[in-house]
Amino acid sequence: MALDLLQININNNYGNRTTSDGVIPLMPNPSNRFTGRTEVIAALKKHFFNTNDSAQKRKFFLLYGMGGIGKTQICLKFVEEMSEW
Amino acid sequence: MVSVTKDADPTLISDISIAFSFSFVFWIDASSTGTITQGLKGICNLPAAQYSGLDGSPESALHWIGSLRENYIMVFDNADVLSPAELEAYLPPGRGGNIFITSRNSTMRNLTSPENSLEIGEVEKSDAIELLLKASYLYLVFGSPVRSGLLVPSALDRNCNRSSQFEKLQKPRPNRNRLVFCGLLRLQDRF
Repeated sequence: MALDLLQININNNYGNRTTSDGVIPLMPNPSNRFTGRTEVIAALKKHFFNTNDSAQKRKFFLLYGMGGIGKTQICLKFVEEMSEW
Repeated sequence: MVSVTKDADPTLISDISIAFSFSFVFWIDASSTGTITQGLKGICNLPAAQYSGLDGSPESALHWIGSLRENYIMVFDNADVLSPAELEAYLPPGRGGNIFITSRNSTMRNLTSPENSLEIGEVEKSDAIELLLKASYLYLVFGSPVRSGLLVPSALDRNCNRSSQFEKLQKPRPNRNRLVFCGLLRLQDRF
């Protein structure tokens, strides 16, 4: 049931899905009910901002899993926390 | 979190080769090649991109992103249908920046390498309970394991203003509130 509620909110945040050509794609906001997933977010921060890695090299990361499990929301939350604005 | 921007001392930036935040975030709906193309065309209209004189094509957007010296992240969201090879064609050139993919397809690991991937499973039970509480505007008010329970603020259906709900919580009047659930031990303190 909790996942259903989360899913509703994800859909609400996707009002810009039907962008036409030339429209700047907007990043949706993470759900304001985003809860938990602290270990995943911490792992992402460590991966992308690892200060021991001296080489300025492209970093990749994949979040995979079944639909509706929260991959996009975790990514949105991580990016929001790590952006300059 | 320290944020190193282009306005910061240049000698400092050369000493610290790793930025502490993202200067650019490119969010691409990767559910199909069509949505990716559409997103890339949209990026051409960003003021910073227009300043670089892009021609509006997806290729020019990718080239511009690949040429950025700032720390960027490009997110390919919902890359469920494309094969790793098909998605790879949309990665910007160059060796900088960051690429983030979300997908139902675990074979996308071929693109990121298996160690740079994580399977997301169900939320922890305690987090699921907290989420349910948030979503239903319920509050856990008793700390005691014996008398633990949730109250529905009596003014909920009339006024959804959170601060007024919070005032109600200061002096809970059990006779005016409905006990709807028992047995939770953890006091919820973040609303």
